[in-house]
Amino acid sequence: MIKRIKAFMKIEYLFIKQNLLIMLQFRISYFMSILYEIAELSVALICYSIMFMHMDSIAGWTRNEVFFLAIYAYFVDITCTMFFIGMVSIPEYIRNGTLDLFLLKPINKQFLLTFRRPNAVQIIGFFGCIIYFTFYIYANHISCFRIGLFFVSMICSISSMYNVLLIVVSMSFWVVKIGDMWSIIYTFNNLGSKPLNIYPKIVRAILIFMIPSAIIINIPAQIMREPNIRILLLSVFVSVFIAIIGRCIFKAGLARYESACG
Amino acid sequence: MQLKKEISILRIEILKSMNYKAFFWYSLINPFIAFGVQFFLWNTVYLVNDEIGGYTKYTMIMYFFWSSIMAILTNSDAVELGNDIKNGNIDRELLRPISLVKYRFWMHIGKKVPYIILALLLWIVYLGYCIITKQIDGSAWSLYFVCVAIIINYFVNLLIGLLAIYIEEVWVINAIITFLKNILAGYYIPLSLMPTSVLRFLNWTPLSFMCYIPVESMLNRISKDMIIIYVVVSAVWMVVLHFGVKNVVNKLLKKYNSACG
Repeated sequence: MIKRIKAFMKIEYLFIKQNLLIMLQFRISYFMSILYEIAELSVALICYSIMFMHMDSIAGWTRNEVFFLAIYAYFVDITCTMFFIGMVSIPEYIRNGTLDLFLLKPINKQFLLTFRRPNAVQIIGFFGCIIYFTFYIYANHISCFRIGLFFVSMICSISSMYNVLLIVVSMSFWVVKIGDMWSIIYTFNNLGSKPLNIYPKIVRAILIFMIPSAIIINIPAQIMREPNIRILLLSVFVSVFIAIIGRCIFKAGLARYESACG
Repeated sequence: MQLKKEISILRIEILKSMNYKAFFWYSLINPFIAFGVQFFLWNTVYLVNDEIGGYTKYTMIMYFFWSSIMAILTNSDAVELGNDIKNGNIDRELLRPISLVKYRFWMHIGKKVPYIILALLLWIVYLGYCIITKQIDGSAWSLYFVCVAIIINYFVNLLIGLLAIYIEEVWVINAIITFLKNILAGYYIPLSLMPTSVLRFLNWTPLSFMCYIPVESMLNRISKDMIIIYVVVSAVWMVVLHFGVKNVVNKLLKKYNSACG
């Protein structure tokens, strides 16, 4: 099992390296893309900065905590774009019948299809966020216990996001055009990128159990603010459940797939 | 005045926009989801504050409601004109018996017709409420300011898009300018919450007419004197932008070489 994981990590490293080398051939384009990522993050931070000129907290969240939430939402976005953007092509492969080329390869199909086209533009943003988290932990004297909880919730969050996207693209095995499902997912992630206690209980329940935006974005930031084992266990349970559902739907879709090759 | 050509463009664009019904309904609902987030956020903020930046809870929530409507009315793909000119994709449009800028404008309006109908219905209901509560002054002018917002937004997006002709990697500059424009137009946050000097400057630029001033007029937060000033300033900006865009596009088209066989 560990050997398999090491092999996957090595292959993913090669994919990222290859993508980075291609991207760096067009340096201006690469750095312009980084500029875009910074601008995208700045919009949320500017809006919150203006709000905090007129108030001390939002639903009990201080300025630093809200900024952490906004940056964590950005971190989830760039992690998914960096590692999972290859999923965008799966509906096209299914429609064109060119999925066969990937199914014939001697590697786990789900891994190959979802991880094979990383986007190395996000590397700087990814490490920038890690540095920010490190600085935040140091500046706020966060305990090791809380760091551990945060790390576990971060894994659950990224895993949940991956599996939600996997479920969406797997619908392509049954539905011809999944079209703008991506933007729907990101709309719901917008819901999760605000402090959870602004919503009434029913909306919170929807954001945890049905559309797990709270698990993906809010709960890790919540845990960093106030460690809560119950929320963490809930987050682990939901993310494992979604992972099982995602895997089952993907396998069912693969079983249904018919090649277009002659 | 005959609008036969314009009406046929509108009709085609309406049919095209209704092609993918799921996406059409999603694009209608999406801004209200974004409004829902703002509603819950400001509802919670006002639990501990009575007034923020001169806005009560009601006016703040209504600000975000109407700015969501403004966002769907005013967002456009006018930025694409620059790329289309650069890639030579406008040949067929140049052969049509209507100017390119006018054609693209009516295409833009055609795509917006379902949203305009929705916005009009909501506006009529809101106007009825304003008549009952005798707060009609600013609201009556809001329709004029919304039309101004659509026109000014279209021209500004067009000018941003025309950068594509001069700069290779323009999509990032387009995106950054669009982000800045959306913040400074008041889509994300009321301009009154910004520092006073910034607000004073923005009030004289076309940016504030894209969202902030139409919404403020709907909320009756603009005095009668200021409405007259804003009507004049907005008319001046519309004329300036119209001639500016027309001039730039005509100059570009004189140099345009088609790659048609």
